[in-house]
Formats: sequence, C-alpha cells, structure tokens
Amino acid sequence: MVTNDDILSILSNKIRITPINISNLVHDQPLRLQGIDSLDISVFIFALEEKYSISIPTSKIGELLSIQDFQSYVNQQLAKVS
Amino acid sequence: MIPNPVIKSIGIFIPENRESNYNLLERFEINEQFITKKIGVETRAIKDKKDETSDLCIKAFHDLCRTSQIDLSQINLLCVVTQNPDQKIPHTAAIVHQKLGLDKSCMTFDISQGCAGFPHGIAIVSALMRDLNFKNALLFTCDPYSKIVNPNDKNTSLLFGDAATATLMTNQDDNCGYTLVNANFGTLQNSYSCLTCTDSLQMSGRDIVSYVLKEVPGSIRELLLNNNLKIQDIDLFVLHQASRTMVELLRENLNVNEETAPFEIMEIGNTVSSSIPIVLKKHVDEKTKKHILISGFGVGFSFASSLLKLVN
Repeated sequence: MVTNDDILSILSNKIRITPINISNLVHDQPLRLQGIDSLDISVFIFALEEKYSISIPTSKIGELLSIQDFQSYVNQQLAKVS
Repeated sequence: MIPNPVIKSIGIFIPENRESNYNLLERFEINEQFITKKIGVETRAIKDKKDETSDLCIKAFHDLCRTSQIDLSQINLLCVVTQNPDQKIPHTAAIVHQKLGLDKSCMTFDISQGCAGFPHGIAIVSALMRDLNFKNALLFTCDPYSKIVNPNDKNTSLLFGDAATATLMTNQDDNCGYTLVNANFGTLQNSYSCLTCTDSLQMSGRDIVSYVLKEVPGSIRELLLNNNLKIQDIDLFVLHQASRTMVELLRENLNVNEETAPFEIMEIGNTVSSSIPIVLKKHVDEKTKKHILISGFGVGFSFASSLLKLVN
C-alpha cells in the first residue's frame, strides 16, 4: 500500500527550485494552494506514472488536487492490477 | 558520387518588439520565480501586426544574405515549415518564391509541422536534394503564434514568441557545413489534442511534459545507438526550446551540462519551429562542433531527432 509519505517523497524529488517545506504540506489541501505550481505538478504526475507503472489520464487531473487524492488514486490503480 | 547536402548557413529574424511577462504577474497570479526559473521567458518577441509569415521569412533571408552569397537563379527548392501560413491557399512557399523572384523551375512546398518542424525539414530537403541532384535549397521556418494565442490563456500567452529562420542547404563538390547523418521520427497515438488550434491555441502543458519525458530521451538514445555513438560523443545538443523546465529535465535525463545543451530564449520566447535553427545559427557559422544532435518535439505529439556531422 502506497502511503502519503511515499507520495511526498516523490513530490520532494520533483519540485524544482520552488522553496517549499514538504513537511509543512497539509495532506488534504490542494497542492496548488500550498505554493506548488502547475509545472511542478506536471512533472510530479509523470514521476508517479513511472514509479508505479500506472496511467493518470488528463481527464482525472482536475479531481487530483491533494497528497491524499494522489495517494488514494495510486492505490486504486494498483489494486486493479493486483 | 553525389555529395551529401550540407547546412551551409542560417539566417534569423527576431522582431525587435518585446512584450514583458513581468506585466502579467498579477493577471495570472504568478511570481517572478515562475517566469525566470520555470518557464524561463522574461520577454516575448512579437511581430508587427502587418507582417505576414512570408514577410518574416523574407527578413530572415536578408539576414542569411549577410553571411552567404546567394545566386537566386540557382535555388532549386524552397520549403517553408509553418502551421501559420499567410492564408489557407496558396502554400506560403509560393508567396516567398514570388517575393524573392526565384526561377520558375524551383520546387516549392510547405511542411505542416510544429516544434519538430526543423528536423523534419532538414530530412525531407536533404533527401530531395540527393535524389534529384538539387544544388541549392532554402528551408524556412516561421510560426508566429502571436496570431493565434489568446492573451487571457495563462498556458500559452506567457510562453510563445515570433521569429523566422532561413537555412541555406547546398550540394556542391566543395561542401563545407553540417550534413544529416541519420534521424528518427515519431508521432504518439492518441496525443494530438495536447496542442491544437481551431479559434485560438489550446495547450495541455501536463500532457506535453509527460509525452516529452516518455518519448524524447529514448528517441535520442536510440539515434545514438544506431550510429554507434554515446552521449559524450555529441559536442552540442540543440533541444527544442520549449521552456526552461523542459530543457533542464531533458538535460538531467541525458546527464549533460548547460553548455552542451543550452537554453537561450529568455528574451524571445518559444519560437516553435524556429527555436532549433536560432540556437544552431552561431554554431553553423563557427563550424567547431563535430557532432551536433538536434531534437524537436511538440504539436502532434510529434518528435524528431537528427544527428548532424561537420563536413569540411
């Protein structure tokens, strides 16, 4: 099972230049409202797809806003293939 | 034996008029760091409203004439890479042909390709020159996106600039320049909606980031492998100047430094099909790099990587 910490670890590796303290992120709040910009999120989503061999369709992006949203979605996708 | 055609010289035209992204901070709720460190575009070159695509091509041709002596009666082929033609009919190459007063025997055609347009153009023009024994060709690129960008669209209005380039390719016995060694191409299934234009430009930045990272490094590595070369053998990577983030991500993936894969669009913006030849120009003039790899990617989602080698 993928945890919020797993998701945060990937996010922290992919945030480029933006001065964000990952440990201060609120897990159920939209990342965009916590200072993470659209480019960082695009790169982060790609990293999730690669890491877990899943696909996150563009149509889903509007629903995936917070760390928790991403964690739940990744686990749902992994459950489908297991 | 027929010699291989070479890229002899490149002329460029970048409009003097600039629009600053710093004026858009409030409108798009972004900070200076997003401009400098992420998209890497501080100002965008914007053409004069009255200038058509063909006019920009002619201005790039005038720049080309500063470094090359060109006998217009000896041009056998004229190609314009554009998705923003002067008008739907005729092809822009015919208009440029008329404005330059070229011979009626000169072949003219447009290539509808976006950010991967220059490597597509080099491959097509090189092949035609070899097969038909053409001696001189002019390859233009010009995609003035200011014609189609919606100024209220954050995804696109911070990014794109206008420019045109004119590349002289020759096929003579005393060839000196960069010849095309090999290339690979691709268009991803189910991806064309990433960048479209019906009324105005629409771009899914997230899709493009994903497609680039999935496809482009592999395309470059495959090209190198097929030619028994390693990344370290390439003296210069000219990557499509999509944004600072995109170029930096590719640099990291390929493990090359800034000098080997430069990013040079802070003052002009992403000029689509012209971004590669604009960076390439000074290196074609200097002729010091032995192997240059160019890679374009974007509209389609199409991508193309080409290996160029110095011949002298």
